[in-house]
This record gives sequence, structure tokens and C-alpha cells, in this order.
Amino acid sequence: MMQSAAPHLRPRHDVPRLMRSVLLALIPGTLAMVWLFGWGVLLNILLCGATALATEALMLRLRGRPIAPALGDHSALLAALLLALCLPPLLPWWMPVLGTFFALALGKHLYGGLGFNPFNPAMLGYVFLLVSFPGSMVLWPSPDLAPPGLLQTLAVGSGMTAFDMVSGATPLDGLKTALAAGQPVAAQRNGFGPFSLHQEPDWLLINALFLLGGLYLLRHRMVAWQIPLGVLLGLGLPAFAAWLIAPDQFADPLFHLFAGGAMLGAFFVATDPVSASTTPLGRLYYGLGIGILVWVIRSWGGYPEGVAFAVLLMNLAAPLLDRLCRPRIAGQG
Amino acid sequence: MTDDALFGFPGGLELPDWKHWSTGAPLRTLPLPPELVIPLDQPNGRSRLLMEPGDAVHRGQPLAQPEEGWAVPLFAPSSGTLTAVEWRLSAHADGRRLRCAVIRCDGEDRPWPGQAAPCDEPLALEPRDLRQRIRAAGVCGLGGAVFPTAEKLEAAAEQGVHTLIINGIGCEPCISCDDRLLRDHADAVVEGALLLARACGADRILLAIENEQTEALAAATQAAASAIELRTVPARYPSGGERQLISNLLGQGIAADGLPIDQGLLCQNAGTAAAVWQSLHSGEPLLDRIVTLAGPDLPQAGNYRVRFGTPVDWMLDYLDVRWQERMLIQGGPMMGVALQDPRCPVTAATNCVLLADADLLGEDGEQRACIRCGDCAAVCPVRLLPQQLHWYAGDHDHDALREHGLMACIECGACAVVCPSRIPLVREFREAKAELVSADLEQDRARRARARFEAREARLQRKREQQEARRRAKRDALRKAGEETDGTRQDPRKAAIAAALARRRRKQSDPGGDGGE
Repeated sequence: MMQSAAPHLRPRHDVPRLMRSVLLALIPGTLAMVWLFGWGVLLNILLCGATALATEALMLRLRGRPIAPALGDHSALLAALLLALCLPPLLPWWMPVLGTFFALALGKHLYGGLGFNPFNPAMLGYVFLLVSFPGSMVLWPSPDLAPPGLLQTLAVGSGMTAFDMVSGATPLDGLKTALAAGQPVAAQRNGFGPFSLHQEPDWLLINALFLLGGLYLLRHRMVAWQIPLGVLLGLGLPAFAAWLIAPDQFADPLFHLFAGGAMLGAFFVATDPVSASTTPLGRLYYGLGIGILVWVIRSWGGYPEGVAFAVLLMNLAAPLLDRLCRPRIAGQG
Repeated sequence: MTDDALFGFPGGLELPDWKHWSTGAPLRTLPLPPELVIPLDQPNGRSRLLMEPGDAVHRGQPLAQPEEGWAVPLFAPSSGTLTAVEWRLSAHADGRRLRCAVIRCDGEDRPWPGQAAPCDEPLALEPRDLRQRIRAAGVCGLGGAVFPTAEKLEAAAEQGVHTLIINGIGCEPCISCDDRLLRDHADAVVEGALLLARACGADRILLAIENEQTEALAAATQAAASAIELRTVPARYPSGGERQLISNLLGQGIAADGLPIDQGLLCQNAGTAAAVWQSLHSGEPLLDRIVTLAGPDLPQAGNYRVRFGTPVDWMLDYLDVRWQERMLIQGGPMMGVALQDPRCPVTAATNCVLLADADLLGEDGEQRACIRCGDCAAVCPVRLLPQQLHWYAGDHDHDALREHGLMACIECGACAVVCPSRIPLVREFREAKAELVSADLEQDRARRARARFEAREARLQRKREQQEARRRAKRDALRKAGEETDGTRQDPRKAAIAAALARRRRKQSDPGGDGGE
């Protein structure tokens, strides 16, 4: 006779399925990035993915843990994909490899593996690369040129040639540089019109597709809705207020929401449950904190994009938020 | 039927219904088995056997009386011979053995001549007499907790309640005994509800039914007296939980360490109401209950009136159910107890016998680390944070567990059923609760020991001081006496004269002089 303790009913979903769904939801935005930025994106994904699996297996082995179940939960692949999507498409091969190794070995397994890491591993890996190799990490292909071909990508990736001829600036970069040079926002090349209808179409499309994937996750309740809502509000509201007051010095909220890693960050990075706040109200504050920090870093920080820093900073705040935002127990005062 | 808005309750989740397996056929009565097994240890108390092995018993004859805790009197469910008192495996999650009276039935089912007379107009009885009769009939809660009904009524009458809630909601999937009872004997439930309300002094009666139980609702509507308000509640586990139901119907929260009675509310199960009516009406004590037999692809599934003490395996064999390869659960898939021994008897707590298998319940998956997704917190009807409790339970952090309300957990299992990491949360919480309770006991014992020690110390100190004081008094007295003797060593008469002289001298000279010495 079978034996078990109540409840006897078993859960119908599990962690691998959850991770698979998130990976699935990332596909549209990922395809857009491949299409717009070329083979480099795909190469990054392959490099990060392979390194992630190898690192995960190595670390599990070193920790004396069974390898197959942890590899099967797809969490390493998800972290790898998130990191790969943050990386500029043309990097020497060892950079994605190093970043992924750092993310999983130091950011995840040294803390005890999935479920125990206080920081988002992908963002830890990204920030590690950004701080170590600031020069390479801000070079994105110019949107005015055709994406680099496969051969060129492989040449850069293998380290044979340096990446110099097609570099350009992301809209966030451009904004920052232009503002620093004293140009008003409206005078800039891409014409940040009212609500950015003429915003850089590449980033608009990418962000829109990540938003789509995020909505899919929300619909199937794979992520906590409070976090993306908080991020978008935290980013959008200050941006809106600042833009109303000083439209020459601040980009409008829609530009912010559809630039850089806003949607990827809001729906896929900030929602990593392990390193996020876990109480309903705490999650809202957590998201708001990330959104506000992203806007602050974009507006005044030294880096054009702030999602990774914002997420890591709020990771630090998550335990405190959880303490402060404990729900009132039913039936008690 | 009133259609007041509901207030809802926190959390909860939609579960498969699985009631349709057993609701189709009308209530049937299971015949008598050759042997009845009556546990003398009850979930909330113990009882003392009134007979000796070898004694002949009649149906309804008192078998045991409450001895300790909250127990009800037990009666022989049928006539025959009390053959033995043995330790038998029980329907407990921990596989505890209980002292059981074993009765070999003679099949004649002869009633006890001494039983109470049937009561044609029970509603005319005084509340006190009603409670006394309910107590004497051994009626206890048939919803699963098996608490003596009369005790609840006494407390309610004493503290004063205004509303009686009759719970007709099947508390979890598969269990349809209350549904079928309402369909077939709604009048008994209604009559019983009126009796219960009279017994506790409530002037408002709510009868709660799940909104999918349309036939039960129709029957109840037809039977309901004007004094009874019918309420339908959406099927959302655990809507049938006492606190969840109160929250849903009245918008009132009951603290974890409080009782509905504190707020003037009394909850009773529909089956209990019917049992009250039946026992008063017939004069017979509570001897049987309705048991749902549930399971997928089980043609025999249905509801059966089963005499207490009937072994589950006999019931299944009699109904020609092939149960050997399945898992047997007493109760439902959420809070039921896996039967370790199929010979466990049907008791007042046996609302359902579920034949389950992995196809039904799902496969055992790999347990993984918690990813703090919070799905558990979203379904918790007490608004706890199981993901945090899981951490603190692992750390044995008693203060954090208490602070996070572990003791308020009702063990409904909702958290464990949605956990994507398949963490056995309820099991962890049950263990942590036991740990807290024993830590409390330990602390209490330590506190008492310290109080005892301190009291002893204080007593010894007091004694020492008293002794000291006595010694000092004695010494002073001695010294005084000595000094006095020093002054008047020769003769008491001379001494008296000397004292008188001294007095006069003192009067004459200044009062500060040393004449007195």
C-alpha cells in the first residue's frame, strides 16, 4: 500500500516547468535581438548557455550534489540567457564565458545553489563584466548599419579582430552623451517626440516583445505581478514628473519604459523570486525601488543603463522589506 | 433564501471537485459486520470501559464513559458479546495504537431495554434538558474534529451566542456525505439545526451550502423553516473550514487562539445537526454515521450509513471493492489520513474512505530547494508566509516561527499542493508546531522549577532571618536580664529600692541623665 502524509494531492507544476515557461516567454524578444543585432547575440547565448551548464555540473560535483536534477531545473540556462541578452553582441568569446562562470559559481553555488543566492546571478555576472571591462561592455552595433555578418561576428568572437568599425551608441548612451554636451533632449538625433513615437525603433521593438513575454507570464501567474508593476511605476512616474517639469533635461516616461533593459528587467530579471522580496507588499516596494533606481542611475549615474545595479541594490533590501511587509495574519487584530 | 454578499476569505485555491463520483446514488445502509471495534481512546479524550470482556451487550447500551479530556460516552453499536479489549492500529497519521473494545455481533441487533424514550416534541424541551440529552446520546462533531457537541453547547449557552452556523459544505474534494445527507434528509438537518439553536440560545441560524450543490440546495430550500437562512458559498478550498466559513459569511476573523464562541458564534456540521435530531427523536444514542466511499472508476462509490466500529476492510470487501493496490485514505485528499491498517474501524471521524492512486493524486516529484515564488503565501487562508516559515522551521528559529504565526496554521495543505519545489510544508509545520509546544512545556517546567527554587530560597532566607531575629531577641533579652541582674545582684528587695531611688533621682534631675541605667 502507498503511504503518504496529508496533503496527499501532489502539486501539478514544478520548478523545471516554471523555468521552461520563463525561457519560452523570452523567445520573441530574443529573436528580435538576433534579427536586429546579428549573430553576436546568438553566439553570446550559446557561449553563456554552454558555460552555464558546464559550470553548474562542475559546481554540483564539487559540492557533492546530484547533478541531473539540478541541471534539469533549467535555472542555469535561464540565468545564462538573461546574462547573454544583456551583453553587447560583439565580445571576445571569453567574456561571456567568464561572466557566466562568475555568475553561477560565485553568484549561485558558493551561496548553496538555487534558492539560496541573495543576488540575481545573471546581474551579478553582468556587473562583474561591466566593472571589469567597461570599454567593451558599452559597445553596441550602430543601428544605422546593417548587423555584422556571421564571419565578422566569429572573427570578433574568437578575438582575431577587434570590434571597431560598427560601434555606435544605444539610445540611452546617446541621451546621456548629448545631455552631458548640453543639448536639449528634443534636439537629439532620434527625435524623442512626445511620448517617443519616433524613438529608436530597434529598442522599442525589443522592449515591446519582452513586454509581450512578460504579459504571458503574468497571465499564467508564473511571476508575481507586484514586481513588474512596481518597476514600471517606479521608473515611469519619476520620469513623467521630471519630464513635465523639465522636458529639455529629461527624457519622457515612454522613452524610459521602452529603452534599454527596462522590460527585460521588469518582467524577467527583477522577478527572479529567489533574490526578490517574497511578501506581496514587499514585492511592490521592491519593484518600485528598482524602477526608481533605474531612473536615477540613467539620469545621473555614471552608466547609461542601471537595471543591473538597481536589481542588485534591491536584492540587498529584500530581507528587510520582507520583515517590514509581513501580511496581517487572518483573524488577528 | 437570502442572497447576501459574501465577505470572502484570504487565499484558497480551486481544486478538482471529485464529489460527483459519490453523489449520484442515494444514501444506502451498510449491513452489520461480524465484528465491531470501538476505540476507547478518542481524539480529544479518553473513556473508561463499563464492562468486562465476556459481557453480553445490546444495541445502544453504554459501553464506556468519559474519563479524561473531551470525550463522549460510547455505546455498543449492535448487540452481541464484548470479546476483548485490545490495542489496535488507528486512523492516525503517526500510526498510533489505541485501546479498542471488540464486540462480536450476534446479528440480531437487539436494542437495549434501558434506552431513553423517543421524544416526539424535542423542540419543547428546555435548553438545559436538550443539552443533557445530547450529552447522554454521545453526539460529537461529525465534520472531522469529533469534539463533544454538548460541551460546545454548554460553553455557548454560558457565554451567550447569537448565531448558529450549520456547515453543509463538503470541506474538501471527494467528501460528499453532507451533500448527500442534505439531498436525502434535509428535514433532519433543519430540525437538528433548530434543536441546536434552542440548546445554545442562538436566535439566528445560517445554513451554508456550496454553490455547486444544487440538489442539496433545492432540498434544503424546501425543508428550511423560516428561521433558517440559506447561504451558498463558492467552491474554493478550504471554504468549509470553520474560520474560513465565518470569515466568508460574516466578515469576522477569529484569532488563532480564540474561538467562534468568543464572538457569539457557534459552528456545527450538518451531519451533527441531523444526528442530534435523530438521537432525540428515536431515543437512541449516536451509533452510526454517513461515510462517503470515493475513488476514481469505482462503481460502488457513494454514501453509506455505517455502524461505528465497522472495519474499513470489511466494508470494502462487502461492497466488493478491490482496494489492495490502492492507497486508502480516511477523509479527503487534502487533510485525510492514510490508513496504515485497512482493518481500522469506522468512527465518528470517518467522513470518507478514499481509494486513491498516483493517477489521481499525481506523481511524487523530486523535492527541490524553495525558490521563494510565494505561491504558498498566495493560497494560505490564514495569510501566513509558508516560504518564510519553511526557512525558520529549518533553522529551528522558535521566536521567528512564533512571530510569523506558525501556531495559526490550520494545516489545510493548500501551500503544499501548489509548491513547485514539492516541499512537504505541512509536515514541516506540524513538526515545528510540536517542537514549539514541547519548547513551551520545557520553558514552563523550567519556569516552574525556578519559581520553586526561588520560593525555597526565599523561604530559607525568611527562616534564617526569623531565626536570626529570634536569636537576637533572645540575646537582647539575656543581655538586658544580665545587666539588670548586674545592678541588683544581691537582693530583689534592694533592687526594688534602688530602682525607686533611681526613679526619684531621674525625676529630680534632668531627663537626659544616666539615672535609669
